[in-house]
Amino acid sequence: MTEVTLPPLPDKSARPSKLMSAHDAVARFVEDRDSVFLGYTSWAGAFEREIARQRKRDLTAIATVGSLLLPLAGCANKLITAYALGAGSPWFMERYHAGEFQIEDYTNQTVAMMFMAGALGIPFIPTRSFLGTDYLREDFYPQPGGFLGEDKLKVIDSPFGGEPVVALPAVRPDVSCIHVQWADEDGNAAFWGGDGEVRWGLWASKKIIISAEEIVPRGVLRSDPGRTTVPGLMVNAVVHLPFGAAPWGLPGYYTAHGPMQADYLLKMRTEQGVREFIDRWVDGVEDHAGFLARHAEVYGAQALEGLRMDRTWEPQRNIRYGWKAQQ
Amino acid sequence: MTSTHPSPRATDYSLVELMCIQAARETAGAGVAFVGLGLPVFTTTLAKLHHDPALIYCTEVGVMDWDPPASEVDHAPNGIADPILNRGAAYVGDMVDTLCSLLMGGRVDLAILGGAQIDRYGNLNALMIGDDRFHPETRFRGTGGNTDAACLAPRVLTVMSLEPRRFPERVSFLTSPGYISGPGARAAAGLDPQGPNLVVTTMGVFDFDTDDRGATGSCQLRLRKLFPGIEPDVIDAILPWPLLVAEDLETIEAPSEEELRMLRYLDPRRINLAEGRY
Repeated sequence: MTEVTLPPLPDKSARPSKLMSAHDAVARFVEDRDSVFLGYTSWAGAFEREIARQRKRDLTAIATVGSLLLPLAGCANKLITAYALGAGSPWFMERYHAGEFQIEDYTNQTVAMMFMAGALGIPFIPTRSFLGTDYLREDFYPQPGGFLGEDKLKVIDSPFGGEPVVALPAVRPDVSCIHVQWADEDGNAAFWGGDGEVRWGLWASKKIIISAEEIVPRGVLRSDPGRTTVPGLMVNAVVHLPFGAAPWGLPGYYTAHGPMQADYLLKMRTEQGVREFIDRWVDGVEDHAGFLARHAEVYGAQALEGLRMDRTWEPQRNIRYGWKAQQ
Repeated sequence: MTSTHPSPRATDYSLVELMCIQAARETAGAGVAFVGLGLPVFTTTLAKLHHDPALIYCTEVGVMDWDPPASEVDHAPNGIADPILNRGAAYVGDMVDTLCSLLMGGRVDLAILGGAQIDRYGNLNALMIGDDRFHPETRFRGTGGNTDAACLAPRVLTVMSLEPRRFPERVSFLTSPGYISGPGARAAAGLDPQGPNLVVTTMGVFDFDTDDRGATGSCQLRLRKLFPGIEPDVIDAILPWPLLVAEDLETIEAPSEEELRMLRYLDPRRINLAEGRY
């Protein structure tokens, strides 16, 4: 083997870190009138509260499971959803009937597929769901109380076999706000435990802000790149937010906090309740650290720690990567 | 875990409990099960842990072939995204994997579904009640994957408490097609044939009056099996249309003590079996 003198190798540490505070991530990357994907299995509770804290306006909230807080805090005036959590709330329905926000109903499959089309850069995607349903009825399509008009879905004949399919428009959220288990400073992020529509929602998005339970050293995800849900090249900001999904849960870390969840759902039922919730958990604290401190005051210092999962496991075997040396 | 010896019959059980147990019995042997939100998660867990350990249990959030060590299961999953579903699953991916590749790709044998309403053709409604679509009397949260499964699964088993408000002449809003308006309607809508479908209720089990998965026959609900102690007249009084009864009407066995014990064990927080829930 001959000695080769290589030119100086690049310094990896020169790459700018994408770590920032939740305030800055939301302030910089969630803009008024944006369409926003908040996850479902990877619910970003802390980002949702931060968006409300900053009183973002005229957002379109997109997800299989729809946000309650954003429309009721006056931040979102449009919802695309398969499961509108708010329907259980009289106050939500009152605001909906008053025209304060509009809803377009889809299904879990079709939300995921619209994201997929957005991620793939194609204008629409066909499905065989929705056929035979009232969603296609003339007096329902376009959906009353919705906002997409004729752009919601269309029955077309397959150009190949001629059979009817439902064409769904591609959806490209302006910004995704997702909570994951691990992320690194480059923005590489890993979520595990049933992705729902999360991967396609992320990949469809023009901007992505990630909150992570743990910020892992840069080498960790790169040592197991098959684990990465979204590569950092698509991600704008990373925020370290332990318990960032609360009061919802995060696989492998903690379960949902039942008492706060119940209180949240109860508060969202009335105008006064929404105000109380916002006063206490959104405006009443400065940031997520403040939220955690308030949580300890209200539910006890050990309440969150008490949610830690105790039936956990790790893979029985690690996988192995490698190559054969050539010099 | 199915006992080879007949277990003693239970006497102290509710109709909801027998509905759940019967749904599990009817699910056993189905092959690849697509498990919908709500009660189906509970009833299919009973099927998996008691009646048919070989059942392939999948939920739309991404889980395929959930096969946990039975001794570790201390509760039925609370919803389709409960992290217990990661334990022993053969695959955990996302909704494109499950609702597109698995379901639309034709790899599911049976979907187990719930809903707010069902009508005589087995159509489900999970969206709203009321004629004015701007101001529905009641708006439900929405369909989740219920529509997708009803459109795309080759068979559907619906679990639904038998009450007048849940069995209208026609669903207020058809989110999830059964036989839509009768024979040939699925094909006319561009959907594949479906069946044999079942509806498991708190008083009996219905199938549908069609021998060829929706092409001919009236395609209407037909009482096939009765719960012990329930008379067909009671069901006829609840349904807004004349009750159709199968010629070979059977009576369902009361729960075995083992079935009941396992069912109750799987719901330690009484999320599914809560008093007054149905």
